[in-house]
Amino acid sequence: MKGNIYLAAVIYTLGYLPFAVSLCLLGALLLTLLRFWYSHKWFLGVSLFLFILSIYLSPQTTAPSEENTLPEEYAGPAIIKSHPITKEFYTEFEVELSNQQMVLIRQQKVEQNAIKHGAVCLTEMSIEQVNQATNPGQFDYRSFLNHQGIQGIAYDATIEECVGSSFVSPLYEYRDRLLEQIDDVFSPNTSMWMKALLFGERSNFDDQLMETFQFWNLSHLLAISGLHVGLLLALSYAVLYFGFRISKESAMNILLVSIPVYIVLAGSQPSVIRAGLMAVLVILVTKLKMTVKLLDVLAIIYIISLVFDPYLFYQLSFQFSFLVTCSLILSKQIITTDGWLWTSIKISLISQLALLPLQFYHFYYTNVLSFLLNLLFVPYFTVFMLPVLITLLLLQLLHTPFAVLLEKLFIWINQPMMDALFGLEQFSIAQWIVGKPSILVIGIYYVIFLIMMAMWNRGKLRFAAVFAIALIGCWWMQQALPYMDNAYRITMLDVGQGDSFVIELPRRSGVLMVDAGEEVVYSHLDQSNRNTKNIIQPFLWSKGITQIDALLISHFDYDHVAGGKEIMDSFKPKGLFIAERQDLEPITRYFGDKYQPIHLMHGHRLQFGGGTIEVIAPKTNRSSGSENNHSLVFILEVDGHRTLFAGDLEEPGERRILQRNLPPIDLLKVAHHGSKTSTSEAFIREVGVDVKNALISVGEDNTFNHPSQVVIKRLEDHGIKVWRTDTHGAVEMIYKNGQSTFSPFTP
Amino acid sequence: MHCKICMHSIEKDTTWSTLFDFRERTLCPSCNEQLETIQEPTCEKCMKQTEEKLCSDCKFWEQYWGKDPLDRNVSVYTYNEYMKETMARFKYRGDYEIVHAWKDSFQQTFKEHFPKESHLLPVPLAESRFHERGFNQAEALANLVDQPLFAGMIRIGQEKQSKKSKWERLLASNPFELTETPPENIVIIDDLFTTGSTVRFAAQLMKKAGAKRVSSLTLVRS
Repeated sequence: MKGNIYLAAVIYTLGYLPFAVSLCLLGALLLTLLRFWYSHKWFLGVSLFLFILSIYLSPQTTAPSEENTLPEEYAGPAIIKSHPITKEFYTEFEVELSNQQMVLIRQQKVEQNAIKHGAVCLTEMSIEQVNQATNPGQFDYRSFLNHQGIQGIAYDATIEECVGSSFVSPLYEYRDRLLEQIDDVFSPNTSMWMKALLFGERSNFDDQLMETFQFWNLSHLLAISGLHVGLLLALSYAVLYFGFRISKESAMNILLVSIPVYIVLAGSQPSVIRAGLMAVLVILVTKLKMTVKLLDVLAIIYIISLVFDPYLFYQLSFQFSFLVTCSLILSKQIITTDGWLWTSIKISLISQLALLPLQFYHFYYTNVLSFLLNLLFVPYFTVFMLPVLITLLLLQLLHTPFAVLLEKLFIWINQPMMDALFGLEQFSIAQWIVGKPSILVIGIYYVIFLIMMAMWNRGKLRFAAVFAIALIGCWWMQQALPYMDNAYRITMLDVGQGDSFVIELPRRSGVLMVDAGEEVVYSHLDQSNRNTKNIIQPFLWSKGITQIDALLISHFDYDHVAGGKEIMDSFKPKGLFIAERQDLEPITRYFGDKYQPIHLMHGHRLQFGGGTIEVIAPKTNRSSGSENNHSLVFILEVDGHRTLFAGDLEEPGERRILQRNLPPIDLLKVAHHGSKTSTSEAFIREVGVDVKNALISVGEDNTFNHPSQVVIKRLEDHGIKVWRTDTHGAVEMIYKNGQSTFSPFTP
Repeated sequence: MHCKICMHSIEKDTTWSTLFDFRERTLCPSCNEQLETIQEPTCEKCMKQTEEKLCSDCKFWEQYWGKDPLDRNVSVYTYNEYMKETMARFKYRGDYEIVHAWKDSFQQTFKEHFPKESHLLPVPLAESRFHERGFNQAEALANLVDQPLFAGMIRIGQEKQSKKSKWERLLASNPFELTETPPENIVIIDDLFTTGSTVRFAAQLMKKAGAKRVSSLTLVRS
């Protein structure tokens, strides 16, 4: 059984899968290893027990049942379940209601030490549902919180008469004081690194730093990893044993007690929990003079962590941490054979290969040069930054003047290092965008990965190399899939009160975008590139699209064009197309002078791969007062399927179009978010004869009262099915073999 | 699981290549290292470690018999000090269980070298010797391989081979007798292959009785 405990961890993981799937896989696992289980009956018993436990404990992430729906208003007792974290605009913490539901509370003002972990308080709150993602590829905040067990958010709840606290609460308070103290005595930059690397407190990092580290796949260095914990333990042990001349036995006892304390002080992140508990178990085993395989220790810690917090399973840092540790333990024979440099290269390579599918699944890209940067920065962080920061903190706590000197040294070395990293140009070549891989490709990848590693382990390097190429081939295959797909797709993205359409022509013969709108939002969250950064870019990346062929701008209103420059910068369209116009000021306002748009007017025809664009309007270059009525209107024809993109055209504009003898239209992009000033009865009677579906891009609860009920009724009276972003989220039209199907993102 | 030779517990060293290997180990890594498998170059016929294509022993047999009745011999281990000691424990001190230590390698070697339709013939033991020892070591080895046995041969001679000189062995009379007709494909199983006389006596009888291929699989080539 020794060395095989990982089987129990695998069986425990099965409990998280859908019930039928987990039973099938369990059956397969039992049958294929029948002989093994026969000779290890009690291990089989424990494993089966763990399977049942896992099914019982693993959270149900499907829709909550009737009796378990979240109340809108809640008044009653609640238990504080997490220590408050202060952010820029609010302080947040989790509470458990009397029906065992978890709610995230955000307070603008919290008195110091008023909220204690584990306290029971009388509360009153109105609970809101968390916003769900409405676009493919978009970060889903609701499922993110649900996967941490949190069902809703309450803002500025009334919290009174708190009683009691948990036994770890004083530790959290000590951590707060310590962090404050660090802020006081060190320069902001030093304290930022010290708080992050020693106490897992990352709130002081700015966006640029986070983005740079993420771009180079170095983010793992910002979190406290097993490497950090190991180094910290080794240092403490050395100080106790050599410095204070304490016996080995007592040194181990001291570490045993201090590790759990440190886990809490370090903010109890999954990677710290993993590394800390592993260390505890290894020390215990050594004390008991037992021999245990490291992989078995890892498997046991995996199961224990999940039993205590079943939601950990969904946390990226938990998945990454265990996957990398497991891969490196299995690779010990490969890693330990050569010198220091080769060992680091192999560790870096194997970790990256093991994580690649997860990386692509969550972020859609990886950085092909990150492996080199890791080679440089991993030793820098572990050999220089960590020991210096630890020493600095100790010197400061002992009030020695050396602290000032050492801090100077730290800044003197660290500043140029970080400047160099930020200064490094973020080549787009280094960024390999594959898109969201299908589960099948991920499965194939891991099978090939296992074979390759086994070959490498056995020293069959030639075979290993062949499989390594196949490994990369998996992702080329993923990238090639759209080029074999006959379907033609139009996706109406939900960008709020604005427009943005992505058109994928059959077999990727072209990717077009119509409009890149931004929503006008008046809050601290307002950013001019919210839609492009959070919705359009993730959507395109998830489809593996890194370059588009054309960006067509219907007209120069904020909700149609504001994200345009961002798209031009990041997706480098071969052409920027706008309606013919005299007044060029808005072009420079939105695009600067870097891009020269191509002006289109009635009669122009464009060809993109399998698609033809026939421009219907405008006919003149004068905008006759209204920007909306000067919209670029065109028909996109692909395989005989015609879509009319009507921009924000209003009634006067529609009248002009009707004189132009339009061919039959299959799909209508309704003008101006369904406003009653557009889509007149005359227009629908003329144009809408063959139209079966209409797309309306409109913000939920917008102040313009779009779409107009009159327009909706008018469309429906003509037998047209209306798809709208405020109720359906993003809507994708798939046209294949003469049939079009529509799939709304939120059904 | 414990090592059949040194009794220490065997731990699976889980790496990428052993991740899905759930076979029960019967030999610990350190004992496995001390048992020395036969390395090339060897005599093509009898696996004696030599530079020659055909070793002097085999040449002699060809001359002696006209045509050697044994088609070939395959052995697993060399007869090093460790093996001598282990063999003594197995044969003369009755540690029958040790045979399982060789299970994996013995099975593996059979699979690599012999066709599936072969019958096994463990070299028979004289009755008096069987009583003395309690088991037939050749039969113990044959049982490691999942293959039909041929039991139609008995031993009439009494003398211990190990007490004889090379010439005495070569010139002794055939100690075996057939009681049944042998199958076409026969693999003779024995623990030790020294000069090959025992195996060849058995082979000669079977070839005469109509067997087409007679080879031998022996644990040790000394």
